Amino acid sequence: MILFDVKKGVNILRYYPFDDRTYKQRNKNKMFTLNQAPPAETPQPPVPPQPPAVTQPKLDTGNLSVSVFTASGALPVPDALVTVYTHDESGAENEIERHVTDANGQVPLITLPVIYDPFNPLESSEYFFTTYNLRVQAINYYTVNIIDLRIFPNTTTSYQIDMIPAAIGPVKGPDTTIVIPPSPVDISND
Amino acid sequence: MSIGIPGLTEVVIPDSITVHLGAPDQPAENITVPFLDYIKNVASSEIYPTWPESALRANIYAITSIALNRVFTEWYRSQGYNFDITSDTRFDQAFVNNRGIFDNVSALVDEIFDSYIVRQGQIEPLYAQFCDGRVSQCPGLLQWGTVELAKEGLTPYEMLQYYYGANINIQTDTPVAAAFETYPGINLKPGDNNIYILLMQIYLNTIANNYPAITRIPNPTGTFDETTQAAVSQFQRIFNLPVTGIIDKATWYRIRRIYVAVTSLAGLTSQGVVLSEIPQYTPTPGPEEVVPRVQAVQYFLNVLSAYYNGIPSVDINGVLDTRTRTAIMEFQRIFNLPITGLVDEQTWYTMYDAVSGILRTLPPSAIALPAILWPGITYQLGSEGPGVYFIQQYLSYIASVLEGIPPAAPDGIYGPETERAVRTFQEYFGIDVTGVVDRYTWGRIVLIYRNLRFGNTGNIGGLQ
Repeated sequence: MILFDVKKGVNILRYYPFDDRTYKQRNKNKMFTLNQAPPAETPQPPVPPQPPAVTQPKLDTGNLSVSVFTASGALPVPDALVTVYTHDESGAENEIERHVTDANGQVPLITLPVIYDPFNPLESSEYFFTTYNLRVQAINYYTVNIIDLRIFPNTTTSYQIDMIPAAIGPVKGPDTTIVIPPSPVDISND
Repeated sequence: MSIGIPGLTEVVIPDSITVHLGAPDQPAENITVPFLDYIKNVASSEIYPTWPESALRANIYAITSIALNRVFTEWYRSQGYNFDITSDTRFDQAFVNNRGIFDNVSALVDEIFDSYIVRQGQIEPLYAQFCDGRVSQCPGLLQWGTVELAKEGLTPYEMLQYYYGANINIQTDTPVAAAFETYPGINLKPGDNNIYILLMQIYLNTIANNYPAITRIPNPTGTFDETTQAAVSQFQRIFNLPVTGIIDKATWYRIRRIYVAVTSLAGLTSQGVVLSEIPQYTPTPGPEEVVPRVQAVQYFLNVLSAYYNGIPSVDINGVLDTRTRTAIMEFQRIFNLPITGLVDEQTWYTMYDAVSGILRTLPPSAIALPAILWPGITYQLGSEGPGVYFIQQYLSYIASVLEGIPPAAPDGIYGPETERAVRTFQEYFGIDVTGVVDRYTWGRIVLIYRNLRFGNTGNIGGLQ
């Protein structure tokens, strides 16, 4: 069995242990509900001016585009419920957006806050993002859950959801929860 | 069945690529996705969309080169695996099935997906190794390093030379392996008139069957008129392409792909298998034994393959061959059944219920009518019944695609409107204009319907 063929096949140097904390732990500083003020607005002592964006959270926005199809885009799925959530440390979700798809499987473009968190070692003031959960539900289809999807500032992230019709009867369907894992470049974003 | 794996002398962009969602030796799902989508997915998984554009481009060249290298050298297939590449970053590059794609990354990939890195004097796409460059180092491109180099003003080519050596080229405009019309190389835009536009108009009209927002083009003549522009813009809006109203490379391939999805779904549902006719559980016959009921399983697998990209389509030949067994095993894997490749009772009922669930969701517009033989009745003004209903359905569809034929509302009654539609049809296709549907006219209506519905576009010119 080939394990480490550096010459051609196996990129062993990319195999490093990820931070073994859970994604939520790593992002815990960002877990607040949008109804609350972001940490930025906590009172700050009057200190001399500092270089911008080193310790201060930064608030920006990015877009989420969602289209709902079935059969590899052959058909739109109308009347699907599209919900976007923030999630806190315990995993509890807070709904922040809710839309229903039109006859062409479309919902309006969703604008979401993107917050730079200076206490998160995965983020730099230059390159940061905020994670959300997305759920798409439609009658007679399996529900699709997207966990930890990433929204970057001034960038549109597009989800073209391909729904699968639910089997009739008690058949258990395939798993339709997609967890967006950390990116290989995250750990070194400093 | 080959997916267009090139020979050893020419590099081509494959239509699709099969990704193993795990390490090579670990059992995992194999999913087949369009090559373009694969590159967009990897790029969205590996890099940040907020990096400088030239850094994104350099990374996309490397990602594409690795994928093409794996396909061209048959790296995994030559070792006996039935996939082209894995999603495990220890072996290949990151891929997250069904993830979201960043719009700016998507636009860049649409532009350069047919370009790759090659050593001068060689044919083989470079195995363009890369790693993040901060935590891990490697003899290749450093992902974070490209961000720094971009800030210093290096071009993507200069960055690639920096990492892979000066003796590389970027090979552009690689041929796309496909059994269909490839992009003509120029944008199609308002005012143009050519055969490619005619093709796109017919495709868009077919897609419009399922997407009400897309304007029907009543007069597909090959002229890029305002209606065509409106239809293209709507298509771009729905499928998340830049809304330009012009058919560029990205729009061309997306129209083509959605058209294939629409027609293959319609084709499946027209194969004449009605669910109630399918027998109850049937034991699996021995290999190579032709049993009509195996055809039902194969039909089921084909319906499922339109929805699950892990299930391959199969030939409906009534033989439990290797490909059919593989498809059955993929089905069993997805539905957490014992993976036997045999259709036991549990597999049969699970498959039956899954297909029933799919058929329940299909709207009538997505279903294509089968080619029904002439029922032996001459239909004329005053006729009623199912035969009239089918004539009206066929003609309504034909009217939606071809200019000048008035629509006939399907109500099963052969009234003046239906007669007018029949007369126009006969005139259009050089048949004696009688307003009566006899055996010959019936046959022509069915033929034209099927040609238009299933996109046998080779005949379109000859029809007019």
